[in-house]
Amino acid sequence: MVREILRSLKVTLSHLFAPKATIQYPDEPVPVAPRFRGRHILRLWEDGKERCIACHLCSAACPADAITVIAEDNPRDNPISRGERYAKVYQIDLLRCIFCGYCEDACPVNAIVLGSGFEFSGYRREDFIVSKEELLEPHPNSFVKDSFFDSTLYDRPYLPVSSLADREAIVEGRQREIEEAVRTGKPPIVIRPY
Amino acid sequence: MAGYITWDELVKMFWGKVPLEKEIPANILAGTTVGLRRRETKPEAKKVRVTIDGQTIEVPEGTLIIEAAKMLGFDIPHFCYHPRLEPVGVCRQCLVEVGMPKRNPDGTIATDEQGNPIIQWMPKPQPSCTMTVSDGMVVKVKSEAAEAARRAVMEFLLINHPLDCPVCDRGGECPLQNAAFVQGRPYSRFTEQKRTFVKPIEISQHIALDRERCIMCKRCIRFCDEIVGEKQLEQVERGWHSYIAVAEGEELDNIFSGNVIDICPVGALTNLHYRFAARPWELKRTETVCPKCSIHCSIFADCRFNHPVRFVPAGENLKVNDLWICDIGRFEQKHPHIEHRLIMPLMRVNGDLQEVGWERALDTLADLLRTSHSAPRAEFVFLGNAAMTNEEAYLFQRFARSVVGSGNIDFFDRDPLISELVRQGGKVGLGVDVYSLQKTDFALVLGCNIYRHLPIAWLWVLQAVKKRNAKLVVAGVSEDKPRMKRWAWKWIEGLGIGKQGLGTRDWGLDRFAQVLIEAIDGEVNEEVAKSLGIEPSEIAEIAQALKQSERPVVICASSEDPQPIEPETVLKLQQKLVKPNWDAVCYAIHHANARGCLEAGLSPDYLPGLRPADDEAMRLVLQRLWGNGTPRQKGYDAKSALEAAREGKLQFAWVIDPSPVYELPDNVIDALANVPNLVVSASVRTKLAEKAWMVLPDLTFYEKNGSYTNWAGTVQIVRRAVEPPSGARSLARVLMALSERLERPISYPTPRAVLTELENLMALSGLTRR
Ligand code: SF4
Ligand code: SF4
Ligand code: SF4
Ligand code: SF4
Ligand code: FES
Repeated sequence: MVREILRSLKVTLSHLFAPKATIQYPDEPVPVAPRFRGRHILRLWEDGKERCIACHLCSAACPADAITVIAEDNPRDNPISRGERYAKVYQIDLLRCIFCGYCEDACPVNAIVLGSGFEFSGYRREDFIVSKEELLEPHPNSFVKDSFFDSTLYDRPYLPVSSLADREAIVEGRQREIEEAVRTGKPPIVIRPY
Repeated sequence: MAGYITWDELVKMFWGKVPLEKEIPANILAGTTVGLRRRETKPEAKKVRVTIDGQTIEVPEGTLIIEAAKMLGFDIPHFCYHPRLEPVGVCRQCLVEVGMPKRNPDGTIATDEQGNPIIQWMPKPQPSCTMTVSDGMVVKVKSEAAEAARRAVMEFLLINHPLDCPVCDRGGECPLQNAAFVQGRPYSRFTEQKRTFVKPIEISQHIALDRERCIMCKRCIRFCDEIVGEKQLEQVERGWHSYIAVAEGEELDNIFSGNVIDICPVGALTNLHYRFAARPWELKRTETVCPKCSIHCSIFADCRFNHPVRFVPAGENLKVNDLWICDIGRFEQKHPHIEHRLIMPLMRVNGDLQEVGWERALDTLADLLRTSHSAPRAEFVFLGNAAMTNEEAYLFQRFARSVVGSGNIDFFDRDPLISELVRQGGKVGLGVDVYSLQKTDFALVLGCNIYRHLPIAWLWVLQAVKKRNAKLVVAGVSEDKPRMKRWAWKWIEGLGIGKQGLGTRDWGLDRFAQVLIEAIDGEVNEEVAKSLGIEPSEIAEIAQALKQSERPVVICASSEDPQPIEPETVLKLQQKLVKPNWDAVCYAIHHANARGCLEAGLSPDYLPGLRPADDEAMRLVLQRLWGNGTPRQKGYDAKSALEAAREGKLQFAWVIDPSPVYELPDNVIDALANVPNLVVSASVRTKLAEKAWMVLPDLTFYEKNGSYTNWAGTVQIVRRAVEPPSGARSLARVLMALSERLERPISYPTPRAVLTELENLMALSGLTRR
């Protein structure tokens, strides 16, 4: 009988010293899975330009119609994005969003990604509409989401930038991909249509 | 999470983007083939049998393979082929395999043992857009070789294409994009550097050109050359270096230039006003008509955020404009900003316009109008405008005539000359539809710049000149001379332009017309001809051509033009030149629905159906129909009403402001400002509304449902493209509400019901509509 008691005590005591599963949320942060789909982030390029080129593809892909984009001519002297256009307005209604990640898939420049943030609170519905300024985050330390894709494929200037240097960079990057492909025998992942 | 933008602000920002003054704009149809090429197949053309992928079809000789395939439902990808342009075969996208039956030396078809003809295949794939069918031809569209050839062409087309669909305005409605999705490779093998250009460049005040995206199909060049007849675009350099540019010493400024945006099969030519305003899948598209002139082209009004962002031609309209619209309708239309819209009636209280509820406004107005049952009716004046729909015009005049009992009903820009012509028994407008103008063999333009004011009419006359060698005589036109003179057989000028004023008979142009009429059947009055500065022999020549012409078109200057023609002269021309199956002698009508308003009875002289106001039979019919009599005596027309207003004799006027379709001139506004009880229906606070005693919020053109009658009498439906702001009420609703308050109710369930009634009345007076 004593043995039984000791055995159960052992179980109890072992749990007493085992690492705790309980997290003191909200005092402690909750870890999220690497591919968790939380609040969106609009990424920037290293040089601070916006990635988003206001193509409206995310809003077209969004099944919940949560994204609103209004495009505008990119000022040529002081470009905001790397394309011909930039998003003058970009906002997401988080209450409509179902966190499906389609917007992320649709984006041709990997500008919009789903982040790890999930703590939303507000007193009004309007509090859940996030604007472009709130969504923008600097590259690259803000978020580690590109692991799924080979981010180098995207981390190059967007094609329509027409300076010759940029074009050369593209061509060079492409050359490297192909050399790499020849070396490893693996075909390059090419997402660009044609 | 502050700092978000409300819907309203979004809408404002969006609208803010397009400046109110030169808002809007354009493109669809792009490379997609609309119907087949409209070419003239002679009735006696031989029929030939052609087999395409196993299906046999009989088509007239001279049909292109691509068209025969289209009839069978094969959509061969193509870029340079366009059903309205001559085939050139430069893009090579439409390659197919073509074979002909082998012939024996005696000319019979060689057959194999089973009796099937032996087919000799051409060694290389052939472009189906330049090759015409011939008897026994066999075509393979979906064979491996043909598809491989087309895939290879696609790869070639794309090597220099930037593939920047996400930022391209054409993305989503781009023929190149579609074709690449269907038959392109999933990835590019091209690793060399692409050809680059500065992008985009503005080639006119409306159009941007991105030379990187251009695939050198030359549709734009051919459109300007073949359709508009002005070589304003050209190809510069050769081969790999070639690109499109505005021709040297030229400007891309013809009045149809916007159409190159539509026909460009890629996003190389884009609309500067529409640039980035929306992506095609976000647009709510409504088919309606253009209110900018009296041609009424079918257009799509494409809206985003409940605001029209571009206007493009609505497919084929083979009664009016076919595939083209002019730049006025495309780029120069305005739609008021929601911020400026009136959403509550305004009433002048202590000298200021203040918002009042609809009930109060209508009650006040009804009280005022009620006195009309006793007071002399001449005090109540109703003035519409030429941008009203047929239904509005009909209801407005019915309200004035039967509810208020006033005959003072007119609309601005009604042409008194046309009314006079009708009184003398002439015809209002064209008796054939606008599209048929290209069948003419002789066109005489008297004093009206149709290039500017009736662009599509000019386009069709020009087609007749270019394609059928029709003779064009232009007299007394001074603007746009270089564009028109080039095509004219005779160009007559210096006929005393500048002398204006009604009732004077010594105008050069009118004189010229009269001399011409005399010369058709008799002698040229040499004295008059000399005094006009024209050689009598020239007049005789023109008269001779007019006489021989089977389908003459005569477009006469109306009172909007510098030198109008007298109604008597037009009547004589109509009597001489109208044939049983061809009736195209008339006044030019400049303003939107002027013909429709006139026929709907919106004038002091005419009841609906163009019956004189004292026509007893029609008055009886109307009495039965409306339940109230109509005044017999003619009332004020717009001109005399304005005069009376200027002298302070008018007590009450209800004016419908045509803004934003067109603006009233200042002198009209100043005159009307003297009317103490001035009621204005307007969509925004226009200059006139500021002078009003009461302002009723009205709908804009793009918010109306109804119909428009064009210059040729073609009735087309006007559809609501934009949802009106709550608070603005249609004129019909206001009139019905008022008539109820005045105990003489008018009620129609739909605009359609109004139109049906109007059409019945027209049929009663022997007028038919198309
Ligand atoms: S995650 Fe899905 S629902 Fe949310 S914005 Fe993106 S596409 Fe729309
Ligand atoms: S986030 Fe991406 S998909 Fe969305 S508009 Fe910007 S570039 Fe296009
Ligand atoms: S600009 Fe457009 S229409 Fe003109 S040649 Fe280039 S692709 Fe063709
Ligand atoms: S021709 Fe007239 S109706 Fe046609 S688009 Fe131009 S203005 Fe509008
Ligand atoms: S469509 Fe036939 S060659 Fe261009």
